Amino acid sequence: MDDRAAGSWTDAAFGAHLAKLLEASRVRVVGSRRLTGGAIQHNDRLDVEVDGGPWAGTRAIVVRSDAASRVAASRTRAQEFALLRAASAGGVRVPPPIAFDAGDVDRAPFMLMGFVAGEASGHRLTKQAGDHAGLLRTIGANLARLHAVPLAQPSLAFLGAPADDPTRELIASYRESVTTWRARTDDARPVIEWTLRWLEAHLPAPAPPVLVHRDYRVGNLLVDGGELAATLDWEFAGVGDPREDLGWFAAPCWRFARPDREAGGLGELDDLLDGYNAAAGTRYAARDLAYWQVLGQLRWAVVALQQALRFLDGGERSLELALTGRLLPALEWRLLAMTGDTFG
Amino acid sequence: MADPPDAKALLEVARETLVALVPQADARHQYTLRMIASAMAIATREIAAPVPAVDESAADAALLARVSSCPAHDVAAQRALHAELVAATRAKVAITDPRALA
Repeated sequence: MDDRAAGSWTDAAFGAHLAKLLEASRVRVVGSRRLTGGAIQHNDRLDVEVDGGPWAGTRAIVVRSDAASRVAASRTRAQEFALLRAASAGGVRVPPPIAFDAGDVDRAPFMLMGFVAGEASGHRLTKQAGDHAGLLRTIGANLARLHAVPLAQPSLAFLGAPADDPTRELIASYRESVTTWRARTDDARPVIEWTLRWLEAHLPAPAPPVLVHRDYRVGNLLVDGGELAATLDWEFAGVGDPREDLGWFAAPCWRFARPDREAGGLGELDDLLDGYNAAAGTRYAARDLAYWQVLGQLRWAVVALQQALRFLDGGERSLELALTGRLLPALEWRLLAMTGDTFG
Repeated sequence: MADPPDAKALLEVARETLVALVPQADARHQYTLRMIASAMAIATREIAAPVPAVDESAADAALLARVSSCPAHDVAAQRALHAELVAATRAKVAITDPRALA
């Protein structure tokens, strides 16, 4: 792991290495600071002076590298960089991809991207006054462009062939995680089982598989001046049903300060879907997302189990991990309301 | 019996003291302080809650067995199970996040 302090990016040797990556004659790092967020990755902003090459000038870039704790499902930095480049080429709003470095004995792999200004905090964004309908339409259209990124390109070969029914596979993987939890803790979590049975009984016919972000939500979207600036955190991207991303965005667990606003705590689902449908040529309505909102809420409950297990079983003394485990009853409470009083 | 103030009162006043410090901290430390305050609030409610009349773990295991074996067509059994799941979950949420019950 390259868990270095942000300040050590400024040494001359790293500047020389950056010069190679940026195809420059010389790079001087004049400032650095660690950006907030990123329990799985570190994001360090570097202010650089670049002489020569395509990135010449004074600019801010971001170094994204692995943090001390990783989750098994997350993509490597090389894969994340390939995803960022494919998304950028497809017109998705992302930080400009600059370069990937495979690392060496002293340094873990990292990727470089352009710094994009904006606010990502879910709590702050959902507390902002005003009408976010336009922002939601843009977020929807941006997601449609993401789903239109061609899968059949060599740089994305690591995604593998689409499953016959990716959602059925997802549910099976969640069941496996819950089985692991029960075996390690003797904690039964009957509401999770109730929800898994509901999801299996109501599984919709699959839509044609697309590139899915799998963490497209408020908190991972940079917003600047009321406009969507960039889509962040591509480490969970894969191939799946497009409605999975829409349901995750609209799941109750991602509404922050405004649980009453179904579209990410920002506003109405209709605005999100207006933007999505216009760009994707689909005709999804809010009622079409109900299943996928349950799936999203259940997924977050499963992640909470995994995080809690890292604390209980893996010896990671993290208050954040411990508290994530305590989110479960409230998530389950909501799941019982969302599924109704029968699962069949 | 413990000397007064008891554990609940100590945790409450410690949490109040911590929360008063939050505005003086920078953004990153504010987040950490809020997490600590949240953990203390949960612990306070947990030690103040009455001891459950039944073993919660065993009750959950029994509910799991019933959910797992309930036939998909047995609507009446599912409704009864749902009511029990709601009651059991409500008691847990009252400790971890009582605002979610509103």
